[in-house]
Amino acid sequence: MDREKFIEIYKRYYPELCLFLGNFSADADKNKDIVQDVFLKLAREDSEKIRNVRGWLYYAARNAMLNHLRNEKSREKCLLDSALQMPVLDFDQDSLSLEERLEMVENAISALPQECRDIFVMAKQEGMSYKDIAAAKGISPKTVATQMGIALSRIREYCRAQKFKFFKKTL
Amino acid sequence: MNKDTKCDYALIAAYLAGETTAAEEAKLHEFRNASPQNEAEFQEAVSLWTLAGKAPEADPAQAEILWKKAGENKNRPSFYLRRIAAAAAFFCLLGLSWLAGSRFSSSAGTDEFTVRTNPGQHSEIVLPDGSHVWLNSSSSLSYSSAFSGSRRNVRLTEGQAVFQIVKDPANPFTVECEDIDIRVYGTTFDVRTYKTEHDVEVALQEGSVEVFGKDGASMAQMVPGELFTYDKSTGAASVETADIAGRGIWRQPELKLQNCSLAEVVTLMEEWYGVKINIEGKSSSGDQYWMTIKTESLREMLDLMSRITPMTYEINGDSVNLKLQ
Repeated sequence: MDREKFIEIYKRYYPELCLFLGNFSADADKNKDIVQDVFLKLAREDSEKIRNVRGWLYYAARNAMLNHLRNEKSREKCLLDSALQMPVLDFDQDSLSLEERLEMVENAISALPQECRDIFVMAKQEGMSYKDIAAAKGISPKTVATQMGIALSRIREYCRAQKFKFFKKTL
Repeated sequence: MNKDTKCDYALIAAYLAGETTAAEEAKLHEFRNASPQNEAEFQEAVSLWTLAGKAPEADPAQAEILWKKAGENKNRPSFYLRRIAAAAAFFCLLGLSWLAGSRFSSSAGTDEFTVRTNPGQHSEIVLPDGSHVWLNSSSSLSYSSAFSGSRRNVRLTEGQAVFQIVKDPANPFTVECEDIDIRVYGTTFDVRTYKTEHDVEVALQEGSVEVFGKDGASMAQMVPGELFTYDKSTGAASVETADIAGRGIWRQPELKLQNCSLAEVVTLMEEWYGVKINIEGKSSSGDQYWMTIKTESLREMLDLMSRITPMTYEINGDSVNLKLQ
């Protein structure tokens, strides 16, 4: 691997690897550090041996994350078991670019009813626990869980509709 | 019946947010396994969840820095010094771990990942090469961070696991146990190596595996349907054709017992819970059991059974004593 190729790979996969690690931990700075380490490892690796760079990056990131979670004492520890079963996503198979999909999901979140959106943002982007959200909002954790379900299902519907529009446009 | 299960987004969201209990996770697992559509729904939700995060932008200047940093290390002339430093660090750690009275299992430079299951729990692991491993109760599987398509080694240090290995004849997959090594060429098989048991067992469902002693000598080349048994105390190995259909049933979402005798139930429960069950006394009742085990604990099942057939039980770690009355 030469310098140009490495930089190109970095530019291409850095955002999605950070996002991917967001599934395991809401600590964005820590996630960036881990991704940075993974790329350093890639730069040092004998790249001839890597058949699928993207797959390699995902597994390296996932494993580094698991290691980090194992050493953590926070509630993230409970995520470890789930993390082990987390599928590695195939972003490449989608016809939309990563940017387009990010924008689509962002719009989907904005389109949520306010209460629902607040709760979703607190849980997903701010990494708050259901208990903390419930306390902050003065509602029960059960309501938080229900609202989260509504949010996820609405985001899905929104994106499905958008994608459908997109496909019709390209046809 | 599960095919029509509606997708429960609250459950999926709770799972992704790390808010699920073990029972809820089992429910989700069941949902995912019920049909490919369900799994696709789940994957779609995971992908949306992922995209709902904030993606930072890549800064090419950072890439430059990394590239330089890696280059410095790559071409560093003091290779010798590094070796010495690594060796020193190694011995230092070795000394420390010796002081701590525990064994040091990871060599300098590579990390080791270990997945452990608690009694009564199962876990599924997907390895970097795409191979699947299902870990049964009280088991432990380790692999190095250097695991790759060309270096496929895992260690089953304790317990039982079913391996479904991606075929790659050029790069054999090796399962190391305490007493034996198994070399695999793409296949499905089951290894059982609990510390409390006398034997190590390998049951082959598909493909071919070769079992090696710790001295590197080949002990058996197995064909599907065969069961390899290694006696840990005598070192005697044997291969026989066996009924291995029941093997690995514990990795299915549920265990159906239909018109089974107590003896059959006990054999299946041994597999399901990864325990050894000894029966004292003679079963005179001839009771037939009809039941389905999903997420019930061993204790719950034994309580249930003692209502059908009068008995008492005692659980000691991985073994259970049943006393028929």
